[in-house]
Amino acid sequence: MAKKVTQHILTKEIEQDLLPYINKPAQYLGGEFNSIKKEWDTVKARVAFCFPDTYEIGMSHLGLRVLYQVVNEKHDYLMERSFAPMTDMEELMRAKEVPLFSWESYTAIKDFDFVAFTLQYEMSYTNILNMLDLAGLPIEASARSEGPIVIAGGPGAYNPEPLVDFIDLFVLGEGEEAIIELLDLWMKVKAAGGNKLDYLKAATAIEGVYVPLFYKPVYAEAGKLVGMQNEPFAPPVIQKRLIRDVDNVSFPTDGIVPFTQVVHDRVMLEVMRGCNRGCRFCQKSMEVLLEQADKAIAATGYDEIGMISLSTADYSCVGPLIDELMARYAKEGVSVSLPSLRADAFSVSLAEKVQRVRKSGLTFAPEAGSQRLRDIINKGVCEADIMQAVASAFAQGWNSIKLYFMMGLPGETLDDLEAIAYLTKDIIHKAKEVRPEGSKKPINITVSVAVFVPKPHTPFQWYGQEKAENIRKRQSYLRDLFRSIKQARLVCHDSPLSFLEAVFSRGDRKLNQVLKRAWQLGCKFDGWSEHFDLEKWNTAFRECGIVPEDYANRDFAKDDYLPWQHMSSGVSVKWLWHEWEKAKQALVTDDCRHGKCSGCGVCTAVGCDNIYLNSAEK
Amino acid sequence: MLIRFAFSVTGTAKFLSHLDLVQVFARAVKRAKLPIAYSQGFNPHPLINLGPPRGVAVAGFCEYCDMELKEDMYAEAFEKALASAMPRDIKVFAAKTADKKQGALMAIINAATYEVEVENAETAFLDEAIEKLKNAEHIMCQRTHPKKGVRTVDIRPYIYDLQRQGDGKIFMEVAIGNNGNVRPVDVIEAFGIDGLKATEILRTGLYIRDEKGNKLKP
Repeated sequence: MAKKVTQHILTKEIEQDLLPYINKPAQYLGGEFNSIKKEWDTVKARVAFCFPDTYEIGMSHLGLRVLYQVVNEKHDYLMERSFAPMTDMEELMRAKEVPLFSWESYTAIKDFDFVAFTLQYEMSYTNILNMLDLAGLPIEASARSEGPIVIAGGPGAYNPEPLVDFIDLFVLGEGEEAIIELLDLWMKVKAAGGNKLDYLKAATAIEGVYVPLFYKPVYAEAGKLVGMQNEPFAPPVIQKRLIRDVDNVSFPTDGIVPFTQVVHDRVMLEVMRGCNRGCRFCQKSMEVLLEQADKAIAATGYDEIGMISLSTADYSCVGPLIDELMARYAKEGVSVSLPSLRADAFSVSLAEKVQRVRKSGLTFAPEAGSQRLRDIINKGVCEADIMQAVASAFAQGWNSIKLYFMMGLPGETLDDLEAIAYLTKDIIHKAKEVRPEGSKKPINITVSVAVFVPKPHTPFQWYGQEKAENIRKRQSYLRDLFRSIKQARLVCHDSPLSFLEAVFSRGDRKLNQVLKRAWQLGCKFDGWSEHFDLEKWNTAFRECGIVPEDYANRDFAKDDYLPWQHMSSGVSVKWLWHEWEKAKQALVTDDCRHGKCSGCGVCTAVGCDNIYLNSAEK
Repeated sequence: MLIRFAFSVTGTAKFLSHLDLVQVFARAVKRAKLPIAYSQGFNPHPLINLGPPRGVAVAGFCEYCDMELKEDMYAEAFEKALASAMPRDIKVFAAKTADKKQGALMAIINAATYEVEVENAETAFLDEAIEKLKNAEHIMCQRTHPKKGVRTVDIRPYIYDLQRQGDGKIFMEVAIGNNGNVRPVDVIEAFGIDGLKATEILRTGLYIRDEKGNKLKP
């Protein structure tokens, strides 16, 4: 006998009391082309995917599209989307008592069986708390004995500790398979009459799943973290979930076409997964990519294909792939863009291919100004590579490019900062040299300098961020250097924001109370400069008796137990430490695609190997 | 060739702005692989022309759109292809070839009919107000222009028809465009009934009205 499904549909309230009175109502509508609306009583489990930022930002997120397709493909399950309402909408929602809803059917989020957040960025965490509250759910996991199970995944899951009070379950690694397993398990537990606790216990058996309830941090005297004690049925270390064969994974060619201009308004072709720093996984084959591009253009009507991966030019078939894409789409007015490029793989022919339809922006990421510093971070490009890449671009007619750098890198000196200015000057000089005759537009280089934030599971996880005061001084130094460089525009990223990122990225459980207090004081949309309020954060830290510098600037010792040590990315900690030692001496490690294996442990840990698609490369 | 078709905008799609709507059609045309013509110049855009904008939260039963095609095709085939590529709450119908010499939709359309659902007014009061408005020589309405400031205009000559239809529903036919423009909210406000609120506004038709009062479909 089917139990009647509780579904509070808020269409009337939203259409009459909210939408006519707010900015850009188009971002809250649902019903977009390729969106999927299933009838609630035809499915057995329902997931609300909640992106902790606005619609315009969330709709560019590839992960959402993948999971949306994977879950909705299943006959018994559905997934609907939700996003953070903008402040004017939120104010009205609270005034009119309209709780957070899903876009597809305007159903109250609290009616779903699962609420799934993606952890993209530490400064979106207050939005997570805010969305739970807007949904009418208690923000603390311990206060939620009934109602949806709140799960989270994405890059932030690699160190989930600052959020454990609020999330029931984390998924480490790629979620496509895990989410179905979680739903299947839920059906099983429900059928057997189990409750939430039964479910969470059973879920610990799924690879990649972390249920913080079953883990307790162990402190020694003076409050130092020395270990994590797990319940016997929960694994002591959580292994990251990995998709072994990316070609066969469901790829969202029928992406939802948003109603508004979103951050990335184009078809996104996921060329490669994995980071470049010594960890490399299988790459997608060209045939599959072309097929996906075909379907995606046909299904969405976009006029631009963005090839995404951390460094697209590394994908071994990128030249031939671009050729093929251009051949097929140029006459339809579809252009191809490459979001960010390693300078060493960019070349004249690539530049030429990409610019044929419509010139999109070009971004290069030298990251550091001097070769010494580039070696420290193992960025395998040299000045010659950079100059050649830039020369290709300007020779092909580009007039403006963007350069990404980081400051606050380990071992950085003022000379390294000066090197950024010199490099920029050299680039401008080169540009003037190679530009086509009669170029009228002025040369325009945007130099964007971010503050380095040490991240867990990288060789720099033991390194504390440079003190805020020093960062400010160095930014000032850079500004002075750039004052005289006319064709360049220096953009320095907000250092208080980077400071907070550094606090949370290597944070531990003690930060949960700070997060809660900051949200209570009104912090949200921290990643948006118009909303970020450092004073409120400082108050939150003070009231909780926590000194944020203790987190952001702290160096860990080799034998310290790290707050994320129970989460495994597959890369061995010994190897990471070895890399850190090498970095301190500015020694480089070969890219395991071209050079010898350096023994990072990933291939054995997850059972895969590098596969080369273009045999000429090996 | 120029193809003109009608479309309806209902459900939540009525909250799409005029520009949002142009973009929806541009993407749909691409999905449907229709041979739309592009403008010349530095930033080519598809030649899509919509009729007059509806106004915030106004649903439309019979709006119009012109599209310039670079290849000839049958209007029915065009309609079928486009219809399959539209999002849920926007439906296209009545496609036909049109004559460019007639002029742009926004220029030739000069009248519109609306159905407005209201609450907080008794039938008797509504009837009384409608009678008064119909018999009035002038109906003054305040308009605020961002640059020109506040102006007062007489909208009486531009209200062609006004009736109550059933309980709580007002039907009106008004002028729209550059030669006289009346919005449904202007009329509702002119009723002068305290607390009268329009809960639903539906534009039921757009026309080319001649001096004799005959209404033609664009």
